[in-house]
Amino acid sequence: MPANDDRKGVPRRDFLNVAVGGSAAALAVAGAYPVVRYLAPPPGRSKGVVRVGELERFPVGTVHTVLVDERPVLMVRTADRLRAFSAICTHLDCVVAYSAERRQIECPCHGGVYSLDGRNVAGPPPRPLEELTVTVDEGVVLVSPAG
Amino acid sequence: MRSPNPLHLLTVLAGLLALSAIPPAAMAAVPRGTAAPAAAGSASSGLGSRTLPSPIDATNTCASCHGMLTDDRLRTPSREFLHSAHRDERIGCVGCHKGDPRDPTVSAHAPSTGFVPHPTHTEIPQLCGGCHNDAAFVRRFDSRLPVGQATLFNLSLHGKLTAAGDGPAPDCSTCHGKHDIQSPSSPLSPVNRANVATLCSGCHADKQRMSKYDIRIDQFDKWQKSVHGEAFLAGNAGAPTCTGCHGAHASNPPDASSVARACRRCHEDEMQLFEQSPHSQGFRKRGLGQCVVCHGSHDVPRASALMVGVGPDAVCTKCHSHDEKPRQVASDISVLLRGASERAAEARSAVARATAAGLRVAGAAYALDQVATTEMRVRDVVHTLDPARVQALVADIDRSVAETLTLVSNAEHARRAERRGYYVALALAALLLVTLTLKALQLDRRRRQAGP
Amino acid sequence: MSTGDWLADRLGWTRVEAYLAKRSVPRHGFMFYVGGITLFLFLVQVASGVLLTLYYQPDAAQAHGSVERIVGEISYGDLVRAVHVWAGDLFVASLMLHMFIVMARRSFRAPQELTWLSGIALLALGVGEAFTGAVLPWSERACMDARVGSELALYVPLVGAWLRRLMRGGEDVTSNTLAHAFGFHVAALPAALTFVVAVHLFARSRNRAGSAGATDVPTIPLYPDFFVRLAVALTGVMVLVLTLAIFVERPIGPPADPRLSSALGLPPWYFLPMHAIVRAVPGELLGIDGPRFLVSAACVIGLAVVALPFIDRRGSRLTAWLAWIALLALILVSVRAIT
Repeated sequence: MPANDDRKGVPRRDFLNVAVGGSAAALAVAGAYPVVRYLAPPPGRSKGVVRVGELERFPVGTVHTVLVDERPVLMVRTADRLRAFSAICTHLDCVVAYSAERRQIECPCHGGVYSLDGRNVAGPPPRPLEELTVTVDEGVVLVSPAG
Repeated sequence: MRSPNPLHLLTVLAGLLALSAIPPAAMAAVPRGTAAPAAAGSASSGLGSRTLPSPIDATNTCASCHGMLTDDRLRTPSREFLHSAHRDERIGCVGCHKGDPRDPTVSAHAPSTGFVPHPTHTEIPQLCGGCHNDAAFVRRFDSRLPVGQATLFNLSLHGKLTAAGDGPAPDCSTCHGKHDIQSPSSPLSPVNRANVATLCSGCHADKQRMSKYDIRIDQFDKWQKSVHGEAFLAGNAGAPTCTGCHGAHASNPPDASSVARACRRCHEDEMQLFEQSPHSQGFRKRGLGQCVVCHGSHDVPRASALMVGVGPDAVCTKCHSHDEKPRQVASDISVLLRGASERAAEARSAVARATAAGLRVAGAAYALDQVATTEMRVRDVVHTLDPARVQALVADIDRSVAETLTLVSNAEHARRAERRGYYVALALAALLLVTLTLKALQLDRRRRQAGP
Repeated sequence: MSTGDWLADRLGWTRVEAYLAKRSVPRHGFMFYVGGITLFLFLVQVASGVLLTLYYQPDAAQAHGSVERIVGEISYGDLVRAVHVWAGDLFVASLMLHMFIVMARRSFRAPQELTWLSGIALLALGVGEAFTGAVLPWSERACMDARVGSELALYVPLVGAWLRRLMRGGEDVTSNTLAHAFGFHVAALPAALTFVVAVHLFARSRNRAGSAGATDVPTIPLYPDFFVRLAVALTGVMVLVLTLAIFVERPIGPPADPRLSSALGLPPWYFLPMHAIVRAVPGELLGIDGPRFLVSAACVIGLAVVALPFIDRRGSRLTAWLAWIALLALILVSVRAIT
């Protein structure tokens, strides 16, 4: 630490040190904030509605996995409806799959089980699968993320 | 080094001898030279032949003789024939002209050979049809070639006039050429799709030629300026040229009832919607050509919202100058269309503005896409003349426009907030600069006062 | 004890402080700041570059789009990229200025030869970083820079063909060029730069200064006086970089389309002198192909610059004069090239 010089007076010298330190700290915060925001940007808006194919691609009684915005989605076609569920397990984010023999949706990681309407019926998953909106426009199936 | 095993040596020697015996045997199998006579000429002098075959060749003695004559009228056809689609030796000159191809003298032309020097104007369709209407025959050459053109031609007005001996009317050679006929898929062929309009207008725009018929000569001009012509000339393969609406061999001038059938080939959606409108019955009752009344025929202009309404450019006023209800409908639809188009333009310019500022608005491209698609649907639905249906689609457009504007506004807002942050950071940096400078000056002063 | 004291104790700050306070530098030595500024700009580049790497995609089909995304969509991405572009230009300028000042003050003399050699290496690496960095956005400009910048490499004697293949990642400018540029720009060159900077600083500090100044100029201690002054200089540079980044746009340009013929344009500013001379040189000089003559001459001059401490052992005034004349000439030639 530099020697105190009584002629100059302590408060002024300390003030300058504080001023330097303070503005440096303020600048550091002002610089850190954009970097923090940059590192983890908020989730961008989805690209809107995604075409997943013609209606004939999803025959009655089948379950297909398609990609919507690079995320896996289960297209479940029953006798009366075509529904879309996110294939991400609500337990710990594994990708679930359809089992044709047991006619249910299963998660291979910890044995979670969902019924064909997305409800979590067995195992650790705490919530049903997230459902997406399905519209059929002139024979083409469109899926939009989130209701 | 050990001395080599004699058995090994013998084996190697035997192998070498065996290897050296192969080449002579192999060479014996290669045919020597290329002087093998072509069996009946069909293997060697095929369709790619460009030289005149020798006189002893069973085909085309016609060409070998005519090719050496000095009179251009006699020499040119044989030269042109070298590039013809008919130059297959199974057709040759004799295919149309008959005569005796094996006779190298002038008596190849003797009447007893059936020689036909100039097939007449009326004879040509029968001559060409003789082969081109015979499916079994044509199939021997190219199983993909269509047949029956002559039958179609005879049904057309062109065919009927030519059969009756009418001079200016066309026969096969008028459009396809005589001795240098190319396949229609070749760009050199006059009947290639790219050249059709020029071909047809060659006669149909000729004042003198058309003077004896009751036909206008401005079709080509009109077509060129129309939306169809512009699209075609810009290279759009889906746009129609003359044959697209009139047909080729069976070309018929359309009358009021059949114009719509021609338009319908491509514009099916609009036609179906039109048939739900009051115009459909109305036009039919009055014998008016469905599409032509509003859109024209050869001179179809680019459709725009200005066509609808009661303004000076509107087609509605052509008939409905005083009827109150139709004018109201026209005006309603016109207002809806104009509003939708303005708002769509607003959305587009907002996105353009954002993009120019370096922003990328996620989801905006999709929303604009939806706007454009719905705008196209609106133009179709106008044909129903039902303002309620137009309104429903315009509402869709408005929804997409609102979504686009929200997206753009959010992105611009975020960007403005960021920039405010930058100014703050810059100010703080300047502040630090000032305080550090003061500190440096202070240290300096202290040093000087402390003495050297 | 306070946090500062706790840290000082753990890091052995007292000993460092005492050592630094004993070392001194001339009070008015402008050249002492240029090195620090250059190093600071390098660190700014590393920091902003690492941030950019998080979102940049080094694939020919996706590179341009990823840069557009950084600028258009990622929060504060436009600032990070603008800082990186501007600080990069300033870094190269600072490198060159540093070199010219050292030549002018003849500080390359013994025992600072190692400092000089490592410094030249740093200049080459720095220009290499600038060159490879310009290629990464894969815009029309980037592709053209890659092509034009590497075309002369062919004429370097002995290693010309190899050198051009190195710069292009192949014979021609393709997606391999981008991959090559990315690997160099992000990994190989920064690693080399860091190592050589360490050597440079170490060599500099180990030996007394070789400058031709008199020994009785007023001095200030390294700590705290010089450090504070250096901090002022660095903050000034930071203010400059931020101002340029916020207010002066550096557009990315349209994406590269290999089908388009090369638009006649100017290379990056540090290649301008070379570009201008190449344009002016006749097709043949002394019986040798024009560009080959030029590049060979440049290599000879380059070798002379590298070996400067050994050629000019006593540091004559001539070297200083030549340095300033050369700098002036390069600037004039560049200005001519632009106008």
